[in-house]
Amino acid sequence: MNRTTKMIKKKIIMQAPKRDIASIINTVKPEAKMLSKSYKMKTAPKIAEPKPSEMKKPVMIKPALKIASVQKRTLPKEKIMQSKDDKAAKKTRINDNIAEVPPENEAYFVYLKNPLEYRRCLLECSRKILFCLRSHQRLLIIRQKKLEGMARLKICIKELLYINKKFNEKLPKYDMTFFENTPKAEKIQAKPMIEPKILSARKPEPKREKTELERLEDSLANIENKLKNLQ
Amino acid sequence: MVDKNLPVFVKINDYKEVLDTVDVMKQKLKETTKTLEKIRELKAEEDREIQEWEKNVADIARRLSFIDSAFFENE
Repeated sequence: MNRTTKMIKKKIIMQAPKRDIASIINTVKPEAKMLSKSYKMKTAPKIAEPKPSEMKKPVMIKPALKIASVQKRTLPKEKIMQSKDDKAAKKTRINDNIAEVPPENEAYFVYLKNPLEYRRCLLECSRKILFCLRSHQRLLIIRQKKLEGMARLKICIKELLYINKKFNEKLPKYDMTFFENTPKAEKIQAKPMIEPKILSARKPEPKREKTELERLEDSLANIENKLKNLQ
Repeated sequence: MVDKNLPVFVKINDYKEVLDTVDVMKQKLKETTKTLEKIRELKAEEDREIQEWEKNVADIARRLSFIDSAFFENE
């Protein structure tokens, strides 16, 4: 219970027998007013609206140090040591954001003597890599061209073989058996005897289609045989 | 014995055809030689490209080793 209410109650009790009700009310009235006022203040506190003359315009505070990059930056170790007491050293203002400098124990810096040289070196490496890629592409094109050339060469050789065959047809025929049957004394002596058993033991191989290479080898052997006979 | 050096006689009808065939063969041979030359050139070019490639890779390796040594000499 509030102090003022207690006082009002006390007054009413004390004055009731002596005075009439109207006089009691008159005496209590100012205290009751005060009580109601304090009650109102407690339940619904009013926010005092500022007058238009009192209102202040917002002030833009410019950052002390402007840094172009948005990246989080850290001050070099020496600078931090110099302005250790100053609060500004702990925080750097980057545009409108504030980036905190990491504690000294976490940040490590390695000093490089010629950073420009390293950068140039790296750029040169990138350039060379691009050269390699370009030469790779060129190689692919060259190989493609080479394959095309080889295909053309193959066609040419096939045509030549065909024409050669035709050419041979036009030339006069001669009996090959005649040259084959002419015996050579030296060769007959040198030939070993073939046992008939071995020949009979051989199983007939299943027939399969000859490949291009085999056919060419056959024709080559045939021509060589002919040449040998002619000599 | 038959003399292998006996003269050969070709029919007069076939003779022209034979000459034509020889001409075609000559042309084809020329074409083949040209194609072979082209292939040889392409092969040389390919070799050159591979050589250049090798040179570039060696250069990259050299530069990288330089950077590597510079970065880790502080350790």
